[in-house]
Amino acid sequence: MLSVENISFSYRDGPVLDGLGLQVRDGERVGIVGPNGAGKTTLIRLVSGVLRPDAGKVLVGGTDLAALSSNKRARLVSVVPQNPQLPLGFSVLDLVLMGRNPHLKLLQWERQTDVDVASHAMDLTDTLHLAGRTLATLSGGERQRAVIAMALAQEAPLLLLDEPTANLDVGHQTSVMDLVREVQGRRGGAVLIAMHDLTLAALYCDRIVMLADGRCHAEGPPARVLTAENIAHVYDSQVHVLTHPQSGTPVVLPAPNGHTRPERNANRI
Amino acid sequence: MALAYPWRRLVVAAVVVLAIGMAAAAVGPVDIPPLTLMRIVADRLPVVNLAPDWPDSWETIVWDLRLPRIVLAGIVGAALALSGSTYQGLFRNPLADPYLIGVASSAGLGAIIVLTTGVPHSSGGVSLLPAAAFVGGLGAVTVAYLIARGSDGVPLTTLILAGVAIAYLTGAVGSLLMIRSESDLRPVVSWLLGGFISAQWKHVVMVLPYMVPSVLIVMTYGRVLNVLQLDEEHSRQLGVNVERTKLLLIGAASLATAAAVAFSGPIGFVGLIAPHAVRLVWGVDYRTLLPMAALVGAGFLILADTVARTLLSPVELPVGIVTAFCGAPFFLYLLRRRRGISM
Repeated sequence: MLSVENISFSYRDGPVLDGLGLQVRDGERVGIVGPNGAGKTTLIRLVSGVLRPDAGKVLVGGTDLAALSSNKRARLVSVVPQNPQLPLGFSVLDLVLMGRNPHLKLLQWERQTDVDVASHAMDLTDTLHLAGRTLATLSGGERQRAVIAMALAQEAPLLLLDEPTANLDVGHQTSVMDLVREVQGRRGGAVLIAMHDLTLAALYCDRIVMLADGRCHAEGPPARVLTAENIAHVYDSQVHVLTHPQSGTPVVLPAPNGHTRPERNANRI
Repeated sequence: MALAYPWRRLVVAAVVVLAIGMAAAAVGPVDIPPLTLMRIVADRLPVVNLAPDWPDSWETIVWDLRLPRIVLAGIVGAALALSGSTYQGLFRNPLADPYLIGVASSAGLGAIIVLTTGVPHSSGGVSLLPAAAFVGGLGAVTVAYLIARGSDGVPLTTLILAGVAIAYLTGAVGSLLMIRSESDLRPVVSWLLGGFISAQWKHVVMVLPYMVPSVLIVMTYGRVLNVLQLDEEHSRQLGVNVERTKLLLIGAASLATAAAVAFSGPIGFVGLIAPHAVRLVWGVDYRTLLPMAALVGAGFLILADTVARTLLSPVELPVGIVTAFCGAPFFLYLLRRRRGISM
């Protein structure tokens, strides 16, 4: 479904990704983890086609993204951004229907099929009862679900989520991730998620790709990637890795004073 | 859930604007009864032939003095409201108005050059004043756009700042020319205040070729303007070709504004408040907001111009003063009633 081939990318102030490769198969849910600045968001932007790689290729369903018009790209890849700027005067239905944009011509008004697809997306994300409410009146969790519904309405086989659980409490974190898993189970397609929370990533992803310095440091099933050794190397932080009592996936616990440098600073003070 | 275009609301608004136009044509130093007025207008239609039972002077008053002025005011009001809506949507900024990126003061510089430097006001039957204002206005936007353009597109904040800087610069040059000028400055001041006192049918005919394509382009992009309210990157991920949209919409809105300013001077307030009034009453969907704002802008400016020429008749008030006097309190009322603006 998604094949990232040896991509490199630099912003003006330096390289971010350096020869990164990555595959996501249909039906698979892959988590991208790595410390701040490792290139998670940049990778999401490259795979959504907003940025073009300096070298290498991003193939979705076998097609090079760089060769596609913005409309065709948006029919293959949909994105739930980290901090979407929502136009608060619009209703939830208006917002979800914006997901139909890549399927519509300039002057075309949404057809009944578009309204049906949007309704289905709202049904999947449990926002159908909010359809007529303006975004200004929704809670953070409801807005998040509405944005996911908009991405689903694009009907793209590849769904990208950039830190979908940032700024959510623990209850909403699991409900959003449950939602992503359930939706994927019902509609298929591939999902790529950039995540900070390693325990959540382990719980909900089939495979983890750990980035460090613009490259893939480790890759595979959560239990093989999220080891204390890998985390110490990539995050520069000592942690305990336990086993989740329910799912058997790794649980990453921070260790107080486990960070090597702050300890030295503490001594100095 | 069904979606239907609110045609009825638009038709009603269009009829109201027509009614305002007819009422405006009836009032003035000579009041003309509404029925007679309608017969005078109908008589000019191709297939209608009425026996004129009105004085010839009435026909001149209606047809040569009042109607061109009303029609031009309507077109300019619609153009400013449409440009204002477009800029507000594109820049995602409720303070945006058609003059945000320098059209007005640079058009003003063009007009001041013609009025103060002894350049002939017309040449070969072509009036140079509107031409100079038009070139000045569009020139400012073009320069701002080219300055803001970088390798990966045109950042809108840079475009606004470039436009504002150019506006200050052309404004300063204009002021300098006025201070150094030895000619009578009253025509300059009167142009800068804006108005329709010298409106003629030929101006209507000259404005239309710029208005029609601008209106068509802007209206075509109503749904895309909705999507752009998210933000540029998100819009791109939803399939919008953001840079092309920016170029087309800035071009169309600036073309309409420059053409309007060229013939009427920089009339303030219409382009700022008409879109907000529509937003507050009928909602934020640009597909209906754009045509409704155009109709509201047209009706409002026709009314304002009628007040401007009748209130202290025979003295004319500058129409910009009237738009501010009527518009500001009404706008404040809307803000208060709906408690704030959401874009």
